[in-house]
Amino acid sequence: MSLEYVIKGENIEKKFKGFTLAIPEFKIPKGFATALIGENGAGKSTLMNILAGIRLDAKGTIRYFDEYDQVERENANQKERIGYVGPGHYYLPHWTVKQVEEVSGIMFEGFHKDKFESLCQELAVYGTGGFDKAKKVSSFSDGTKMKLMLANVLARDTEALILDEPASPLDPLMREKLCEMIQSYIEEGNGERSVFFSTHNVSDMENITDYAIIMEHGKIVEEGFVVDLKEKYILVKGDAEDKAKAKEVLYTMTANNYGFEGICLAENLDKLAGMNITKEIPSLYQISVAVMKANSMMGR
Amino acid sequence: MLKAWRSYWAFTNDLYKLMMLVVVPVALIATNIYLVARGHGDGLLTLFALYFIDTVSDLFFMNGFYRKSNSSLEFLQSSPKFARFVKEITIIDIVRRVLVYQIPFVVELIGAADSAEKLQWCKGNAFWPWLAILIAQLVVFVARHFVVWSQMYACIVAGYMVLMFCFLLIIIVGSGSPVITNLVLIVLILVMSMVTVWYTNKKVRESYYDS
Repeated sequence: MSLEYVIKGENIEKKFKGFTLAIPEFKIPKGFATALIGENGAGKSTLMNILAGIRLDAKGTIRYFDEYDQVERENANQKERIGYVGPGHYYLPHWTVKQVEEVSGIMFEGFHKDKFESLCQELAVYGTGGFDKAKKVSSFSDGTKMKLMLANVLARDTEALILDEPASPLDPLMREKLCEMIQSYIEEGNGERSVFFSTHNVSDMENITDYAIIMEHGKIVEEGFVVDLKEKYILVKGDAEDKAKAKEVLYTMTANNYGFEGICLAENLDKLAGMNITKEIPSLYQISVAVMKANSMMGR
Repeated sequence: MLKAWRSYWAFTNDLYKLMMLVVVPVALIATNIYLVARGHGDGLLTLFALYFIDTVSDLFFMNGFYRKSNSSLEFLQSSPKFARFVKEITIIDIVRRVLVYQIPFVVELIGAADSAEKLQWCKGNAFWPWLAILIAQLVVFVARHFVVWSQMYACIVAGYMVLMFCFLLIIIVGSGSPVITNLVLIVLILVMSMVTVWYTNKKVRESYYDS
C-alpha cells in the first residue's frame, strides 16, 4: 500500500534574527496522527503557522492533499479543509463565547453550531457555572480557552487538523479526552482525515501518535512512524563498570553507582558486545529526549 | 448588505451594540428634541459629545486592530474569508456613523419646519454633521493604531482642534455657499471612507507577514 500525504513541503525556509527555519523536505502522512516534537524555540509554531496559512512570508512550496499549493490555498476556499488551533491569543479578547460561535458560522462554511454547543458541554468549557455564552474569552483560563478552540475546530467539516500545543494547558483528564477526540476524528474519517499536532507532553500523547517528527534548531532531525522509530532505537541498561565504554555508543545516558541506561541506535548494538546489558523497547518520549539531547549538543 | 450587517452584528459584542445602536442614538434624539424645544442651534453641539463617544468606543470595537503586534488574529487568519469579513464590518461601521451623525440635524430640521427663519438657519448649518463625520472618521482611523489611552485622547483632542479650525474656516470662507461646502464635505467623507476600507484591507494582508 503506497502512502499518501496530506501536506508535502519542499525547501521551506523562514529567517528571523538569529534563527532560521530550514526544511528541505517535509511530509505529513494522510490518515494518521503526526506529532511534532522539539524544544522551545525549535521552530514548531513557525512551521505550523506556515502550514496553516497564518504566515505567508516563508519560502518554498507546500502542497495540500496532493491537489493544490499554498498560493492556490489563498485564492480559493481551501482553508476550509484544514482546521488550525494555536496557543495564546487566538480570539479577539473582547469576544464572548456567543460571538465566537456566530463569527465561526460566518467565517467557515462547514461550521455546525449544534455540534459546537455539544462539544462545549462535553469539554466542560462552561465549568460548573452552567451554560453561559455571554462569558468573555479573556476571562477564561488557558485550559478553558484551549477547550473552546478545540470545540470550535472540531465542530467544522475538515479533512486535517493542525493543533499547536493542544495538550499543554490541559489537565491530565482533559489530555486523555483530547487523545480520544483525536482518535475518533481520524477513525470517523476512514483514512481521509489527518491530525498534525505539536507537543511537549510526549508521554501523554504517545498512545495516539502514529508518526513523529522531531525538530531542533529549525531543522527536522528525525522522523518516522513510531513503530519504526522503536525498532531504530533501543533502550539499553547495563552495569556501572561498562558505563564509560557505553557512553561512546549511546545517544544519551543516565548513570548512577549501580548502573546506566540510555538510548542507542539498533545498528550500533554490536558495539556493546561483551557488556552485560539488557535491551528494551524505548518509549517515544525516551527516543525524543535522546534525539533532542544529541542534536542540542551538536548545536552547541 | 445583509451579509455585511450579519458580520458586523457578530463581530461586535452586546454591550457595544446596546450602547452604539440603541442608547447613543436614543439619547441623541431625546437630547436634541429637548434642546430644539428650548430654541434652535444648541442641538448641533451634541455632535462634539458624539464624536468623543464614537472614538472611544471604537477601541472596544476594533481593539487595536491596526497595531503591528496584534496577536489575536490567528482564528480570523485561518479562515479564507478574513479579508472580506473585515471589509464588511468596516463598511457597516462607516454607514452607522453617517446615519447616527445626521440625528441632531434632522431633529433641528423637523423642529424648524414651522418657521422660515429657522429653516434658513438650518440650511446655513447643514455642513455641521458632515464635518463632524469627516473628523470622527479621520480620528477613528488614526486612533485604531493605538492601544494606549493617552495616545488616543491626544488624537481626540487633535480632532477637536481640527474641528474648530474647520468650523472657523467655514464661517469665514464658506458660509456664503453652504451647498458647495456640503458637497465638498460629502466628497471628502467618501474619499476618507474608501481610504479607511482600503487601509483596513491592507492591514489584513500585512498581518500574514513579518514586515
